[in-house]
Amino acid sequence: MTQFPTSTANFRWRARSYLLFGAGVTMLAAGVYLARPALLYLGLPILLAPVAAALFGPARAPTATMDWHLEGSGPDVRVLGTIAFAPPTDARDIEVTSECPAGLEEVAPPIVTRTRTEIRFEMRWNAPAPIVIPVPIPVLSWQDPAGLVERDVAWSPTDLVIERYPAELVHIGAVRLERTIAAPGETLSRRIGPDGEFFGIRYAAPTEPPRRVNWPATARTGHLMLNEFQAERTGDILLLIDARPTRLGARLDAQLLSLSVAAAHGIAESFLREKARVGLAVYGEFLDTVPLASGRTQRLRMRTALQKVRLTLSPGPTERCAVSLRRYFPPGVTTIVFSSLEDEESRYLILHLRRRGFPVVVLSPSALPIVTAHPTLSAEDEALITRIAYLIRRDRIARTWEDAPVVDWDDHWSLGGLVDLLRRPGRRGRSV
Amino acid sequence: MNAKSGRVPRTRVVTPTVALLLVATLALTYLTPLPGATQVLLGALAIVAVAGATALRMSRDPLARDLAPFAVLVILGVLAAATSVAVVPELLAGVVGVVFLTWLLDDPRRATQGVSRGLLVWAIPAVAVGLAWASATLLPSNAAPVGVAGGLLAAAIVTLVYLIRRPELFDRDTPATI
Repeated sequence: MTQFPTSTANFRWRARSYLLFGAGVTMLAAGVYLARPALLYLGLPILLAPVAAALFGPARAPTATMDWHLEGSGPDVRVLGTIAFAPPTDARDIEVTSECPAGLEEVAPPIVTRTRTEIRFEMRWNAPAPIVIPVPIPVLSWQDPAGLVERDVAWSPTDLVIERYPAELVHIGAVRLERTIAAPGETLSRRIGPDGEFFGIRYAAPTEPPRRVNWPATARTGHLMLNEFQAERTGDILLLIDARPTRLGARLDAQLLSLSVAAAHGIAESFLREKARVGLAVYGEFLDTVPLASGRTQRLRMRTALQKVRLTLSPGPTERCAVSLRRYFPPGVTTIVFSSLEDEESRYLILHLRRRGFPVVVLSPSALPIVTAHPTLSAEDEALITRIAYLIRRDRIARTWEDAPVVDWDDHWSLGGLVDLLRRPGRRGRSV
Repeated sequence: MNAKSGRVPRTRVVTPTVALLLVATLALTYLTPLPGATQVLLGALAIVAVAGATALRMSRDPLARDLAPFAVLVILGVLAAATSVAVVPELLAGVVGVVFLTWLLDDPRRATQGVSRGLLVWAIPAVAVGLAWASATLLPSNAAPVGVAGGLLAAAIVTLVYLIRRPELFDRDTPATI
């Protein structure tokens, strides 16, 4: 987001200035031509006002800093922030322009409170469906009181990302994943916890559970001592997003893709928190991947890659995805495929993945809850069409179930079905 | 957060400067040497223009808000062109120009508005109008000042065009790039 300002980028005449310049020059010229001094007297202040406005205000770009954060949960999104200015800039001269990001709805107009030194704001939006999207940085500009000239404000605020995904995903990381072979030199991360191999003894806090108290050690030392265990929690999971267009059309495809991205983000965050290795693959025309890894850097990689996911215009062949996937990921890694399953190609993708050794679970966001009613249809026709669409989808899911377990994601704020499926040992995808 | 969202209370839309502009415009209309019916028509047009511009500057569209003064400028230009060549109407035309600037400053939609806060924006033109009017009425006139005035006018227009094309002249920031 770094912008290198040029020497002319900082100061601008606004449209109103050009209007006054034009009107003033016209009045002066008309006054001379028609020999009407009143036109000259009228045109003079109008012509001078923009120049006076340009002389007014800071000579340099004012500097600002912003402290902002998100509040709310689920569909409720609230952005609160404080913008502070270094003196001698008066915060009351700063115009703040913000926009509601695509995919969110504005609940109420932003509340802005100005003092001499700072601007406080609160924006209230509603997320109709899970979404992961960066908050657009508000545009600040110093403006003269007449709105004739403006000057950019020099600032570089930190990024803020809205992350709204189903609450069940917070605990999905506790699912024990299958491990694949460690790469040469790789150290598998370990976690100290309440179960697993014995690791050591430490002083117990008053709130520790009595079951883990090591009573012989406590008797020897005179202090309450606690057993610690080393739980090997590292597992691998691959998130594969199908970003190819379907027969639903670009608008619905984009909405479903946004849902998939939000779910993938939630799943990745949860597993990475549990020190599992997470990989990402996005298939459009070609395969874009983030190789399996864990840790904070991987979290950043995943976030960056997920923010770049866009619907492709030229879809690649299905088999290419499976072939490419084997170049980047070892077979046997648990794979969650995000696909709307709206055409046969999606089903073939599952087949090709299984043949190449990837145990697949399909998470299929349903378009039915977000399809809007056609205005010309009667209520009965609408109900009939919805019923037929539902049956078609059930049939497609049933046929896909022959190859891999499918989670029909029709309630977009709940993913309990996926968590339950992954917890069941025998249902976590089958490889050939 | 921006001016395009949020409602402005109706009581704040009609500010004192709206009334002032309306009175000044009607006074200018009254001083035009036109038949009574034409004066009434022009007065009605002036009221419509001021009311329309005041309503338009409350619009959600930023470009419409920026161009709202156009109607007022047109009617003021027509009235000034129709005004007789006399000392008082000329001074009133200048005053109307300054009042128009105060109306621009008093825009309830804009967070940075304020007549007192934008003192320089209307005070500098007001001083210029006062000087021009005083020099034109109080100094002895002959052909030479007309030539000087024409030359000054041409120089002012050339300077303005130059300033419009070089906005960086008002910018004293050090460029980040070479």
